[in-house]
Amino acid sequence: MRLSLAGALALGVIMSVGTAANAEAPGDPKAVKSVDGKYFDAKGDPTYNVKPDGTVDFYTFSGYRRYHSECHVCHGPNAEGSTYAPALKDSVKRFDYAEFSGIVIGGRENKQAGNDSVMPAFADNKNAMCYLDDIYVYLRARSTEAVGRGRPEKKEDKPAAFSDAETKCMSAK
Amino acid sequence: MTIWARNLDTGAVKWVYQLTPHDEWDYDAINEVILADQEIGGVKRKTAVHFDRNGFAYTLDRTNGELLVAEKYDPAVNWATKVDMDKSSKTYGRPLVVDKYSTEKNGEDTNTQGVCPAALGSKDEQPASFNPETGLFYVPTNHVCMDYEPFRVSYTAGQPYVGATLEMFPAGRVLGDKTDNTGNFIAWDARTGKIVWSDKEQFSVWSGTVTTAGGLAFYGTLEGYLKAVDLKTGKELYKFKTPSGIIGNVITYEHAGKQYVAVLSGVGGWAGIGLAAGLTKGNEGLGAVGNYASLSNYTALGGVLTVFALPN
Repeated sequence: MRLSLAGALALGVIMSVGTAANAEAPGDPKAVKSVDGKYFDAKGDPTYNVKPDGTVDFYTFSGYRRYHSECHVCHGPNAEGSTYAPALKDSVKRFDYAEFSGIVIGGRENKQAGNDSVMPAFADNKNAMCYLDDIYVYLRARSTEAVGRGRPEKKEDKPAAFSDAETKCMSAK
Repeated sequence: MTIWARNLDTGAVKWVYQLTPHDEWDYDAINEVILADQEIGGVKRKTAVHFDRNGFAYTLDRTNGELLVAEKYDPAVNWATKVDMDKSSKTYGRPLVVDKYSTEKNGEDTNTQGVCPAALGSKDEQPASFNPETGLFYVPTNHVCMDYEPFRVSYTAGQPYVGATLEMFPAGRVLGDKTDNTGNFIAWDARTGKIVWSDKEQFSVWSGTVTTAGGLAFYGTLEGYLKAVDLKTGKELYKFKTPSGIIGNVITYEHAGKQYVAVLSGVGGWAGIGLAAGLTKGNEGLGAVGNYASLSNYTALGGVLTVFALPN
């Protein structure tokens, strides 16, 4: 766990050097495959899946919870932004999974005409790091309104793979 | 979750009493403790009275911490059946928790439903008052329950540390009594642990209260009314609509031989967060928004001191 975090951190530093103009746009969020209850788009990035009856995949549900415990105090409820931090449901339309990860892990500073803002680095916070994909897929689901505001009413069961990864990541030293 | 009695001069601990051991619901005991001398069972006791977030009102002997009375001050309270008052019992002084409402027993990722009271408590920080003439306490209360879903969380210094999502709603939904009020203003007998009278309020009573020698209790409502009721019966005698919801404390004072009553209005706090922060969905504001969603139909933001003079 420690190794992969460090690897991701290095990636974050590199990515955050790039300007917003160079950001690579994410692909179509449509899920094309599923591995152990986790969904991926055509580029292989994690994404959400909402069934016709409104049942969301567990990762998206988990992302809803983690977003509202880690992110929403600055970025506002339902990823809709606040007076001092952007609406992430819109931000994830402009940058891709790698850049998202880099910003959350490494943090960043925006200086714009006296309107400075600071995104802290979450690399030491397991509540964000162990659920980075979950938060990302929740934001993608919000970006297309595939998931509305508030708590998703129906969700898939917690996949065994989710529990295994959670236990491993949260108990890592 | 604990009341501490300390020596004023040295800070040394005299006694402690833990209200919600191993709290699973966010019932931290931040509320005031009121000192009153009362006769209980024919004996005059120096008591300390505390209306806890967990929905129980406690009467303790403040000289030694002995628990005299512990009863529910909202009949909706369901997370514990009672506080064990049997001195020979192993669980003496502890709440007897109902498994169905134990968020720890139900565990991670399980939404424990219909827990009363909600995390904001049967009463939060808005203070009650004691009237020595009636011997009763006048208590602003919440009548609200919740769904509470814990999830795994790890602590990192300086970062958010939230391990549950919750949603709040009127207690009537759990009681099945077709009521939808989220507050009551009550008179409480701390000697016996009984509600003497209870006035329904549409919204949680989130103001502090004050009583007068003229036989009146004053409190404010989230819609913005300052109300005066009869101490003995709870009958409403007067109300005045201030410009905004009241979460301040009603005060009374004398100036140049005349008595005044004053209150700050300006909605906010946990109950008013939806209105104050422009939130609209049920789970927002730590679950408070859904419960108070209709508040915006009744009042607006504001910040006004309203002062009333008693007639000559």
